[in-house]
Amino acid sequence: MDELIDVEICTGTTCFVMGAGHLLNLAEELPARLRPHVNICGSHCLGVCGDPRNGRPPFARVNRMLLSNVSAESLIEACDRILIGSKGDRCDAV
Amino acid sequence: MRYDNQANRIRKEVLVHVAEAFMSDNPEDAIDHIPIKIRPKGGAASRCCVYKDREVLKYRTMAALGFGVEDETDELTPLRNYFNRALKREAVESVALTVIDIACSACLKSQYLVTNACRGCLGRACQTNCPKDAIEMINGRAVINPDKCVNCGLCMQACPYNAVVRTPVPCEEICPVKAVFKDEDGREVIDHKKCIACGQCARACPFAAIQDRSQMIDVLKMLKSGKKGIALLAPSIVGQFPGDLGRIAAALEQLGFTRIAEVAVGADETVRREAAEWKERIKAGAPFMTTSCCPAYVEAVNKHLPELEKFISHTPSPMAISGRMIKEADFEAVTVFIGPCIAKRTEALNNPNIDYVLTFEELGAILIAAGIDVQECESKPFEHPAQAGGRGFAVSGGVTGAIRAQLAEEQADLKPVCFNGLDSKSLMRLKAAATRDGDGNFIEVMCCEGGCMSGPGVLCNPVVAGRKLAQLLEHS
Repeated sequence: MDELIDVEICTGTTCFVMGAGHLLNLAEELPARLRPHVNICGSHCLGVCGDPRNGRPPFARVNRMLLSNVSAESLIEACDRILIGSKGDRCDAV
Repeated sequence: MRYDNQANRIRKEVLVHVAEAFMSDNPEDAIDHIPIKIRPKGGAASRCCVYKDREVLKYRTMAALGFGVEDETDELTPLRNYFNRALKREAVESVALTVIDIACSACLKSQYLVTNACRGCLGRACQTNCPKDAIEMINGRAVINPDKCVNCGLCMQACPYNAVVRTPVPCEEICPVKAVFKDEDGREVIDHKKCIACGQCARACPFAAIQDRSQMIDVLKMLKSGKKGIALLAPSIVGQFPGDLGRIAAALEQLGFTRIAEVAVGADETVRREAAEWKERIKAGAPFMTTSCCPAYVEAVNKHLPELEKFISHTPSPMAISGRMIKEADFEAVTVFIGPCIAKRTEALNNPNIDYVLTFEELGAILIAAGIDVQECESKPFEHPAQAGGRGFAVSGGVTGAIRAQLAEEQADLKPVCFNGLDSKSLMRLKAAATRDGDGNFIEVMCCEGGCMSGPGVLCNPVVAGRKLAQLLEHS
């Protein structure tokens, strides 16, 4: 896999307060298998928290896909799915 | 290091809902609906059913309004009554932590347990090493007899399969002063005669069954009434919100605060006075002096280590100095300390210069409810910015660093020791220091490991916040 997986963690005040503030060290907490393949950055308010249909904050986008109530575990899982899926095995997990 | 979890989030969610209700057109109705809004009919439940969840949420809402479970005399009292009582409150009445008994899972008493990873092996290192003969083999597996077990843990160390685990009671485990214990039903209760209000238990409980009483409503009411609200930002504010200090100050101004001051300015003064006091004390023959800025530590000494009392610095804490500066300049000012600390509530209750205490979580909830995005605010410089010494109080070792810098030119023989985090062991070591000659003559004590930036009310990963602070200190 050549392209990096883009993880944008929303750091608008709502997301920051509800848990994104605890995720800001994620780049260093990533398991070694993911480190070369993932690019993590904070983003300005994604503007999705106003609509309850989007789920609960904190929000993040993994390769443009919106995830709600994210945690270190759920973001790592999402990256793993993309990474393993793109190699051809466990495609159903994408 | 403490990670974020869902229990934390639900507690913050309730705070946001309460702040939103206060700002809505029909606050009474909105307050009554909070449990239903968070756990609607037919939706998912965290416990057995939404009805139990709602009942727990009712008590969380009460805590967010400043009440404890023990304030409930009639279970049918609607939440709006508590809201109205909170609005009528003239001053903070109680800051005691409260246990939501129905949320407490009544965890098993802390114990060692043989799991089904046990292979019933020939070696039986567990049995061989048990000094109390507490391990029996039943159905081909080791079983610990709780009547004989003394919780020494040797079996866990001995098992080659890691089949023995220890199941702790998180709140009891983290309490540095053994103030949390089980009642006859196995649920936790807090002995307030022992409790130092550090708040560690409230954050350690995986069910968030222990809650602190918020003063959010009192502050919102004060701001709405047009009084001169002055926000006193603890040094650990750095990194707690997206954006720099100036943006945070601008956001607070939007909320209605008249002035925003850094408590680090008070900390700068604490440094000057504490350094002078230390020199005097050592000259007079005292073996050592300890810091006085951590309220949980001071309370621990008052309640548990009276022999240390004479060694605590008499210099007021940065919060106390800042509060006094503000009140002396303007007697109409209403001071709101905003920090990471729950124990500061106890300190403030006994200090006429501090009217209210909010945690960063509570400030965050108010900002969310008001729809203010800190990053979008225009940065506003402080009237009186603090120096690096005072700002450094946010992390363990910061006070020592500032004192050392203050004394730098005087070639004083400063031998600092830092107690980074209080637990039962470090309390024993502190006790020993009072009676025997220790290594150091200046003892810094921080109840939270890592310092205030790891306090119970923080929003940011302490590593990241620490880095931001280091950057700021270079420019202070």
